[in-house]
Amino acid sequence: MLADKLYDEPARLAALHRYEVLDTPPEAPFDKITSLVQSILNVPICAVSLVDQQRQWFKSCQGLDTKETARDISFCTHTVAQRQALIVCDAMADPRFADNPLVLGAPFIRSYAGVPLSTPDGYNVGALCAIDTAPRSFDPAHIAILERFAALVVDELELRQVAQRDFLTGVLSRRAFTNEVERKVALYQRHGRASALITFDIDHFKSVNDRFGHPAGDKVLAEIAARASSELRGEDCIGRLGGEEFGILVAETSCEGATKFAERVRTLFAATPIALTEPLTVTASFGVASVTAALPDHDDWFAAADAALYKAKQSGRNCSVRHRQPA
Amino acid sequence: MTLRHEAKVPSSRSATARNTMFGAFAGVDIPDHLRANIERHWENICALVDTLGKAGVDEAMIEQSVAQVVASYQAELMNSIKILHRDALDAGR
Repeated sequence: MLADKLYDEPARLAALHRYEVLDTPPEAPFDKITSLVQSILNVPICAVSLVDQQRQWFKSCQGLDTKETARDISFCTHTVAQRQALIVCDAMADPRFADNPLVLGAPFIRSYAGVPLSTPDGYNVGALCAIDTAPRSFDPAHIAILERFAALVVDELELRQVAQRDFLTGVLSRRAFTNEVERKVALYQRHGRASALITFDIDHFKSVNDRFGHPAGDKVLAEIAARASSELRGEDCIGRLGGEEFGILVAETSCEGATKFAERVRTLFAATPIALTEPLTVTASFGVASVTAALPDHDDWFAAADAALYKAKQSGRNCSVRHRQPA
Repeated sequence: MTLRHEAKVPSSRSATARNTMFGAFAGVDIPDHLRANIERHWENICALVDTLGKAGVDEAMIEQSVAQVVASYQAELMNSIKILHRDALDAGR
């Protein structure tokens, strides 16, 4: 399963993009780590490299005055394809790199040690690398140090992502989810990539709070979020929009496919009662809308999904309704 | 705030780092998913200290390394806690 993630490039890119770190300004925590590695391993160049679809982008880089290079010439793209460190003692003697423009020209890389930056769920989003302009070896102690600092880099990335999570349920906050929706709109406008937005609202939630108390209501919210999350694929995401309303972004899926997905989640909610002071069957109503040219921004997309959700509520609740464009 | 791995602190320098890192958060309501990140970070710092020591890195450099990574993490942690509490208020509306 973990090995599969090395070859699941769309999910790896989704994991990278979830950090929302690409093209952000330099930050002290990352610069301190690269500076320490540079000093401890005595190398002229050290970088936190994040491997995007077509480029490697440096969140931090010591000893190089550039923010990115093409991915196809990057050493780190080889590092993210494996679980262990990549060590190149002499790039001129390595057929993979001997004719690499970064070896033959500036910055004249001759030796490299890179450790994958691996997310807790197993995706290699980049590498922490130490680079020299002369041939050299990296012994196991050096690699162990690099691995420890790489773990700290991932901690820092994770910490920023944790701040995007809803305090109660652990799913994305409204702010972070809205950012994801905006990104999907941009992907559609640029590349025509389909996505669907599902909004759902727990039925009669107020009565849960009234009858069982607010701590029980919080438990219901957390359980519903966990059940919905269990159905997501790598590129999908879920957020809490406020109160008892949630949103799910289903990537690369038509409105019809997303409606089937919503029905699966709805059935999952209703199938098993939630254990409160007594078992409580909780249902939810769902609205589904695809991103289309008629929905030019994320507010319109939310409005379309919400309109469908309203119809689901009007239709007796515990059902899914697709948004339909006016003729 | 008590963390699961505090008992593994390898030396007095780490105890100082621990106080630097966590002292500011005594009594702060920290959600579980953030607490997990803090615990993992503390484990990783302890492992870093151990690895640097085994590699023969001198004490001053180890002290400097721990102080720097702890200080920057702490600043970001405080920022994250503020965002989480603000979003929690928004979600409850």
